[in-house]
Amino acid sequence: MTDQMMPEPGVEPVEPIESAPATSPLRLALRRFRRHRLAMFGFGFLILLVLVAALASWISPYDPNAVDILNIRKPPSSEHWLGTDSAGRDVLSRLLYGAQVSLIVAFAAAFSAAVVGTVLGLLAGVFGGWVDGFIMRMVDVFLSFPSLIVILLLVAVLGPSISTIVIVFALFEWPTTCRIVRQMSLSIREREYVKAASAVGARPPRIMGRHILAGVVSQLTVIVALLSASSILLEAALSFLGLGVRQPQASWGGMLNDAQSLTVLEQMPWLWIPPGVAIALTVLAINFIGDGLRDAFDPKQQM
Amino acid sequence: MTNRTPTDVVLEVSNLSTSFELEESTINAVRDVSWSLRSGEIVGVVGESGSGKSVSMLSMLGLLPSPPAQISGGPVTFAGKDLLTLSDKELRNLRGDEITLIFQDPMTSFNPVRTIGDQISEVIRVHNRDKSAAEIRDRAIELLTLVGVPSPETRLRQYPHEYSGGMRQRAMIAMAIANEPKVIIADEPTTALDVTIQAQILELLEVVRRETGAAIVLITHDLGLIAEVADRVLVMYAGKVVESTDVQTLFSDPQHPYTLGLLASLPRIDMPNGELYSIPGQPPNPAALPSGCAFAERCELSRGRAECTDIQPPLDLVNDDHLVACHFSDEVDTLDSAAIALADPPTPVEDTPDRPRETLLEVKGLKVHFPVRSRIIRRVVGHIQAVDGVDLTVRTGETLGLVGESGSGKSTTGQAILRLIDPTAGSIEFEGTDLATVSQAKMRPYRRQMQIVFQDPYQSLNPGMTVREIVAEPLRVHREYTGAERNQRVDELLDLVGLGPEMARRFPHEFSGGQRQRIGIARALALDPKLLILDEPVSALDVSIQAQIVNLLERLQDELSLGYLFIAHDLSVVRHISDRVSVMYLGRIVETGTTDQVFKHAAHPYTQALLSAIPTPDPSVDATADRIVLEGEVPSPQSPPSGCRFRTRCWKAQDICATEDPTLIDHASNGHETACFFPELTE
Repeated sequence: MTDQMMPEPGVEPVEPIESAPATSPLRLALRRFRRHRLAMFGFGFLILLVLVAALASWISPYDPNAVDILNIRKPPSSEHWLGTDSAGRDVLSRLLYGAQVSLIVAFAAAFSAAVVGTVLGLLAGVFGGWVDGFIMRMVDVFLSFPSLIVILLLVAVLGPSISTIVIVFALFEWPTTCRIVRQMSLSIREREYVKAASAVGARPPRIMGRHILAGVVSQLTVIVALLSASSILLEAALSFLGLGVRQPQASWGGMLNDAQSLTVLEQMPWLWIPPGVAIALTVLAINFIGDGLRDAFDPKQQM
Repeated sequence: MTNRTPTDVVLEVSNLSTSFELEESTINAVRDVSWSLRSGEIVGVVGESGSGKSVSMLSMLGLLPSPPAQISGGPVTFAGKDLLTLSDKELRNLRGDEITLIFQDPMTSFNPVRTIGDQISEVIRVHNRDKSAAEIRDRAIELLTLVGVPSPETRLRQYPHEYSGGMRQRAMIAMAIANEPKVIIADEPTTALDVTIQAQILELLEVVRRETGAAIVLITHDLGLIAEVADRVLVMYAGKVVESTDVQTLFSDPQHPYTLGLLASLPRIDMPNGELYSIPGQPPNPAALPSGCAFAERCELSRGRAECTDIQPPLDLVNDDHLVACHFSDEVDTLDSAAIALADPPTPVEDTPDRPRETLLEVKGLKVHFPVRSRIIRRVVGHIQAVDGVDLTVRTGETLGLVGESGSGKSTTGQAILRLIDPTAGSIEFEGTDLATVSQAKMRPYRRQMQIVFQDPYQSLNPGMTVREIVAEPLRVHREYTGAERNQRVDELLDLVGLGPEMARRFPHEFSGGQRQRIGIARALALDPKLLILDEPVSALDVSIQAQIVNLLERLQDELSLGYLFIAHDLSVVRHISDRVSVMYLGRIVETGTTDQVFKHAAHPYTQALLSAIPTPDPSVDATADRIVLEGEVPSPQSPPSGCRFRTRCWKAQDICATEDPTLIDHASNGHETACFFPELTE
């Protein structure tokens, strides 16, 4: 046998699959996300919304809580672009300020639910046994509650506020995250790279953090997006029932609260169309982002 | 049966091309392929993964989603029609009736919620509306009988999960021949099966050809299979047919350098050991194919000649019925004696004088039993005896091959030695210390000494970590080296396995299978272990890449005097790399000895059957003549047979085999041990 029979170390030609150096899976996913048109539209809308919420005190034409008894339920005009509500407050200003509440609730609630669900899901998936049994039975219990009724009760006890909404949302939405994270950690735990890590002597915290959590993170972003959308809807529903944000603070759901009467519905569309459209568009935008993230991380698209 | 002459062409493919339009690139999977299929013949299509062998078949049958698939060229003539111009409906009528398919994985090809009988009947009914239910049922029974499914009346009523892998493949074949097709396309029909089952299916394919007169296209990566059953062969490389001829000529007088390289890189049971030839480099990226010959970069013949790098060689006739796509095929004969030696000079078999090798690992009476629990109250109702009393010894610088079919417990043995699975009983002595019962914390220091390389290079590397992080993980875990020194160590390790330091920044998905396996080996070597457990390290790789990795492993063993426990089901590779071999069946070792003892003087009937089941990549050897085809399949390890576990499939079995448990006995007092009451002693 001659030496030329063996490929010399390092000589083996490595075809550059991508011209860019070292494309991490994350970067590939971002690239796919950027090509997802609906998701980019949703992302743009969300950025706009964040800006509006952040700059509300500068751009809104009126104080959202300024009562003007002389101008009650006035239709849109050049002074009040979206008209005024039953207390004579400027609808446009309240809509802009309401974005603050919706966004804060959306992300705070989704984030807390995801954190609780992830921690418990990881513990269940990695340790298995009675830990898994206990956590999953908790999940079953929480999922079998008629959650809306319990939420109403809790809000009544704790008193309506943003933090109440965040707490009740986290309390009832963590089980879904927990299930997904547990399922994923179970499958990742069986991967050979995790076995390779234990064969080297890596301890459970390292395996959980470096290997399992890292594998779950991409899916978590999708979960957080979808949870934010549903928490906006929950806030809207609670505020509509008068159990959301304490009056007079402006929130989209609270604005819909005014539209409970038939007269308003039929004759004063400026009172309910703007907040309704705002809620629908925001939820839609976030769902698009969620879809985009899912497609971006979907391994089936990875060639 | 029809009385056509064998030269009748049933299917003719002309200039077929298939590409996939992806977001970032276009993959030319099949490029201008022409071939024909004659009535009653078996044509083998060989090629490595990505060579376009399956895609070319699927595209002519309209089975590829379009987009992304773009099919051009043609015509593909079958029974006077051009398949490429047929409507979906016409193609559907054709498929399952005149042209049928057999896939690799019969589990996913059957609908799990319907009985096998239902599914076979449906295929018959769809194409024979006039048949009555009773007629269809009779036909289904007839078919199952033909393919060798025992008690077909009962089997008809069973669901796919009640069938074993081999039986499912038989049922799949029954379905494929239900309507007496003219063409059967079998896509890697035995790849998912064990060798002893593969031998059964191969025999069945011959029966099918005889009974139905159908022409069969056999797509496979296994040259041994081709040599055994095919009449003609197409060799595909990077989407093109590079050589096509009858099977004898292909193996005795290959005219394309790629074919020659493929044949030379096969480890062979019937050939002496030497370093394996390996085709350098890897197949080109199908999204960026070179303008000239796609093989030029790896070719020993091209040597950078302008014709090769600039002009695509046409598929030319060099002899009767022998087509080759190479500019210099007339020079191939010069390669025989120079760079590629098809027949290696036989290396002396007892090459190394028996210097005393120290015992590294000694496993005694290892048992791994998994409890089986009942559904609801989780009571232990039985045990899966995955490993049931295994003894092994691995010495420094020596390779012990551990062979067996799936379910024999060989991987479990490997993982139990590393304590990735806790053993139920037995001792695992590593350099004199018993590790079987130490705590995981006490086990940690030993983990530096023994490491594992896994089978699946796609699963064994964390996709989110760079190569540097992956290879450095063991160093981090054991707090070896810091900062720059650690990076230097990683570079050293990458160099050791034949990868450049510039690879360290990349992520696993940017590498091919063989390169990933090198990364896995580098990680295993990071802590300077003395023992490597190689769990099927090459079975997921293509032949030419497999040879590279086998050579790398042998070089590393020489340089670092590593002890290897080489777990594999591929006997040819095991014979090539091992010093000693142990054969496992249902959790027990049935035979153990030096490689020569086991392969030349196999004493246990199971070893003999395993050896004879391997297809020989040489059509002039008629291995089928005295092949031992084992009946049935491996019994469940939850309730293994009493006495000798092999007796249910053994042709020598007597009463004593059921009542007494044979132990390993060294009959000739030369270290060759067999657990059988009726061993065939030829030494």
